[in-house]
Amino acid sequence: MLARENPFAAARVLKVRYRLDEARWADLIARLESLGMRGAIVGRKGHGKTTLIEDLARRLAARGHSTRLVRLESGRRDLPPEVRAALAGGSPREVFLVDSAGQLPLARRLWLYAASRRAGGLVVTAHRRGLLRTLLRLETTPQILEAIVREVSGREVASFGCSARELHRRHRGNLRDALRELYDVCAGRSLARAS
Amino acid sequence: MSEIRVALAGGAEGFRPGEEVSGTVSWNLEIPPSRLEVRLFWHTEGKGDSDVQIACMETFPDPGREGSRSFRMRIPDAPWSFSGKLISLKWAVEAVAEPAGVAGSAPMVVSPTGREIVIGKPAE
Amino acid sequence: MKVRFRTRHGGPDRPVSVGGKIFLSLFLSVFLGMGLVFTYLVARSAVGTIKTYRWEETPCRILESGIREDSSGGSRKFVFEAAYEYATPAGSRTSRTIRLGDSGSDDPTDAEKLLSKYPKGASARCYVNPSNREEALLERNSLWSLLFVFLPLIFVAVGGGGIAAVWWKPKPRPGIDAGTVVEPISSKGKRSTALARGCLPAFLGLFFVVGAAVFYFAFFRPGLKVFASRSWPQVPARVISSEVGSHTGDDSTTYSVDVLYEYEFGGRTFRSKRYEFLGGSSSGYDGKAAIVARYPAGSTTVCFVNPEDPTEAVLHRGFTKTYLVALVPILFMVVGGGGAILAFRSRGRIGSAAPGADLAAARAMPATPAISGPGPMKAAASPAAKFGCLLGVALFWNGIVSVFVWQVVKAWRAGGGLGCDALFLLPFVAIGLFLFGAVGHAFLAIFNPRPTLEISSHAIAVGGSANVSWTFTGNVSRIDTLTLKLVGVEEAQYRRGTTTSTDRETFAEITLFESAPGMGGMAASGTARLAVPADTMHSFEAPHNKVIWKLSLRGAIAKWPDVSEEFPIVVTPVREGGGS
Repeated sequence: MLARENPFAAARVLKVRYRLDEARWADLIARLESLGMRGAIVGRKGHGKTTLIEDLARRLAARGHSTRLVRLESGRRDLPPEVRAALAGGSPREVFLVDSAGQLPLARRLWLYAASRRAGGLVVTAHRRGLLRTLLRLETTPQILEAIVREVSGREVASFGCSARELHRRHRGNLRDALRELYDVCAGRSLARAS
Repeated sequence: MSEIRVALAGGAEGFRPGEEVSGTVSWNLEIPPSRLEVRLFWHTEGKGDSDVQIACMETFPDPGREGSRSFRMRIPDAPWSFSGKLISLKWAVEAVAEPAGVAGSAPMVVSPTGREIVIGKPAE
Repeated sequence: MKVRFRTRHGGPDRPVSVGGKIFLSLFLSVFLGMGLVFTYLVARSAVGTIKTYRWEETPCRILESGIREDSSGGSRKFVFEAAYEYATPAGSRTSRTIRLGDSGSDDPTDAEKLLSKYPKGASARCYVNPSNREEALLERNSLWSLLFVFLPLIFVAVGGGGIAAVWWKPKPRPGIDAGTVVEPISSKGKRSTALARGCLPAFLGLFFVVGAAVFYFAFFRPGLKVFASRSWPQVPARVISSEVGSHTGDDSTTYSVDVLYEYEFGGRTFRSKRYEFLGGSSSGYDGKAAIVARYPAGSTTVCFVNPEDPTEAVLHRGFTKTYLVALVPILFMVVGGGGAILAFRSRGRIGSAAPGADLAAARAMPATPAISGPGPMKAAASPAAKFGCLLGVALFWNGIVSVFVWQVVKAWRAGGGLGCDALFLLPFVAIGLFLFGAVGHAFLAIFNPRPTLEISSHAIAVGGSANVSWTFTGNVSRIDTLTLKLVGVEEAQYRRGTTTSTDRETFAEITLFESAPGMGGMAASGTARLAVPADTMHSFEAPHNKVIWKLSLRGAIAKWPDVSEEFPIVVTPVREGGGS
């Protein structure tokens, strides 16, 4: 299968949104508000943190919040200058959503938590619990993997030669890696050769 | 409902590097845009993150809520449209109403044969 | 608390409150003030030096000269003193000034050199101030000293720049507004994703320059002297004083061998304090004390004297362990130089161009070779380079690990047992051993036969062809089978969150030459026709996606690392008219 036909191409997988029903979204936002608009989304790699924080940003914006989504690129050890400037200047109405805040050095994270107290809020994603209260701990299941595969490809996981349970177990719940393996299966590549 | 349409001249889809692509963009928008941009660009799809590059752009300032304009742009001699197991490179003409970002596009293929180049032997 | 963070990071953050701004400004103004004062003092001295270059060069006669030992400041200093007479329109004048701001040195060599240059009764040239002829100098300060003006300017820059950064209010750029319309695909091409990479090569280059300078002065120059001194004559010397010099720094004390001795050469007595060519001080008292004990005050020994400049002498003219420490700057040179090259190369790669990008930018072609005609090909990495890189990594890794291993061994020898620390270190040690194994493998590969490839055209169009010829140097008979292939690879990079991964897929593998088993040695040289298929993709390079073409040359050698080299080539799009 050619790259453009592959249902598990990066651009298509990125369109999959986090699977929370309306009631759970309402609970999540209510919890965030009860925590003073400060909290952390915690989960391991490939468990949907980035997707959830993107969706959360949209939901908050729809509720009238002014939001600023900050995506830290891989290996980036500092916040972008304009974000630092905005935080340092105090943005009482703005909710900052920082993806991959866990990769910031401790001192910068502490500064972020302190400086954002004068902002409208702070939501971060991290691999493990930190100083901020945990808003939601993300776990994946073979059922979620099955549902995503059906959404992007219109097929059952079993039709790719393995079960959702086995694929989920093999990648320790990392859905991103599981979907990348299915990309290779569709492309006719025998093994995932990520390096 | 807002809509933008891009039609390539003669309904053509296959182009050779260095040729000109021309066509018409027509729009019917709820809010009048400040400008309309017609962009000739390529982008990649596949296992990696997408790369996007605009090769040429025409801008129509204050185009009004609805209308139609023709465009003409020269295609560069590379990169060509191709597909492999990991990467597909696709060309298109896209019209975007700014600042709202309402868009419409027409796909095209750029290669010496006018057909997409397929590399490797992809499995079915 | 907030202010402390900013102080530590020194970033462009604006302080939260006006109080914080004032505090930071006061702190930085200390830097600024000190910098300005020192800049003024150094600049004033520099102006004085420059002025002396306008003074009149005048003949003079040395009336008397000698070396005075000055112990008034707590440490012994050797000061060259001379009186010289020079003529002015108003009659002859006498001066005792040698240089501007000269107060002697704890090393007698400089004073000895001046004494040799200006002995009593000699004719010399001095420099007379035309606006005050009472004022004269025997020596002018070097203009190189003017470079010291830049040193305090660093403080001025830190202080002034810091204050500016504290009060400067950057205009925040809009963030990614959630809830907006889904972007058109091409809009991504309008955003500039290029990082500010311009400074990185410069910064790493500075690393290299500083490393090279330190290496030159700390190792190269003394090393040259070691070799040069092999021909210096051996001369009896008398030890005047002998002690371990102690130098207290901010957080540690270093020691030096301070042996003052005198010797005779050419009918004159000289004094020197040089034990070995490597100067300076280092930690470790015992070693220096042992050396000093070998040269008690009043004893006689031998030194080696430079016959061309008898003021230069040394007690020990060989290499010592200390020279190994002086090799450390090489690490800076490797890291700085290698990093600068890599950073500079990555700058040139295509980013997402601005709207209306010119067509050349949209081609996403890798850098075309500097020569398009025939010529030798450059391997992606030579065996020596691979060995060098691996050795650097192995030394770096094992250097760090060995510090911890040493602590564990020390504790064990003191009867503390091995404990959990040793277990914890095991995987790190294992990686270190694996790295050394890889170094050994790469080292053996250096002695492989080396191929040289020549190609009739460096820019080959899709559907075009070229001739590739190869020759081997070295023992080519060891090669069992030899294969030359044209290889096309797709490379895709994927980033999400904190993860980055790169996948590669070979889409074309065309054998250009393959020797029969056991006949590889017969193919010490040869030619093959390289034909790029007409229906394939040209070389392509974008930030996350690439199409790479290369020639892969492999020679299998039994029970030895194989010859394996890759030569990148650029396959260009067909030019107009279909020519290649």
